[in-house]
Amino acid sequence: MPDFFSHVAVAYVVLQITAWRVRWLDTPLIVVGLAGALVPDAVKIGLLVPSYEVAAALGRPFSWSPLHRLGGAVVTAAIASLLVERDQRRVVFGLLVFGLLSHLALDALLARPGPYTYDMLYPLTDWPVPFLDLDLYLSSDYWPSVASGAAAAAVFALTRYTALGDD
Amino acid sequence: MTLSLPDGGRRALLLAVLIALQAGMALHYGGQAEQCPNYECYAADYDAYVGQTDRVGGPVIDTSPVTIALDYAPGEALELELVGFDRSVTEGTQLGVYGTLAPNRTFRVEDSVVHPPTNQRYMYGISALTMLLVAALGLRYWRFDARRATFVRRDR
Repeated sequence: MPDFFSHVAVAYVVLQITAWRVRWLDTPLIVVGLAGALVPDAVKIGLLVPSYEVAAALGRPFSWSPLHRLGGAVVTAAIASLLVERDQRRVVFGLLVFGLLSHLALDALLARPGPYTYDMLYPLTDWPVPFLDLDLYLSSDYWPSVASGAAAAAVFALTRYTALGDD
Repeated sequence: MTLSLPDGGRRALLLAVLIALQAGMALHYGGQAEQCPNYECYAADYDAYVGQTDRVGGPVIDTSPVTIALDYAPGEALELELVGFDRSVTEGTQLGVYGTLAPNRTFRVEDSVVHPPTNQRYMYGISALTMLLVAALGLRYWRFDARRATFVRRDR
């Protein structure tokens, strides 16, 4: 992944610009989309409780990796969307899915050795999707967070201080 | 008041199904990852995998020649000496390499990615701050109704 900040900043830029035209997309819902951009990073739970510890406790092979792939991330989004009121669930789920798809797309562009990305569409397929393997940035590069942060600040200022953000 | 959650039963059932699905994928994926080829298989019977093309990664544990450790279990790692790799790295640097397993626990590198250690600290720092920022924004616009175990928009 690029860092968490870049994921959130890119999602903010897309959602806030959309909200200039789409009036029902208000700030509480944009915030849901930002949270959605972090959904696949639920896999970082493995830094606290490594997969092999869970596997040892269960006595069975276990991996957190599906959380950072299409299937697991969509299920995480579905679980989260059950935690809001019933009439909000559809829109909240939609925004979480937007966020997680933008996350997986940005991750596909990461520099990795070799001519393919990873099995991001699991469990639909184990195919290590070769598209979008553009090797644009390292997960540890500074500049994606600087560039996306600048774009997010510009969009925030336009929304706040011009007529674009008026309801 | 009969039920604090009008759709409580239905919600609980859906939650249980989704959590079971998530757990099912974690077990299935874990099972797949245990199948050869993987680092542990390479370590157990290295010669059988000479010629295998793969993407592997791990910390640099020696710099002359550059050697990386492929961790596959706590305290257990396969050490591979890199061949055809001429980028300058220091011990502890995270390396990702793509290439072919070669005889005598060497790895012929065709493509590589180097993660500078200071950048990794920056990434962890900014990522932790972002989590706090999103959590703060979430609680600014949503509140948690503990009685119903539900997040509610603050403007309604």
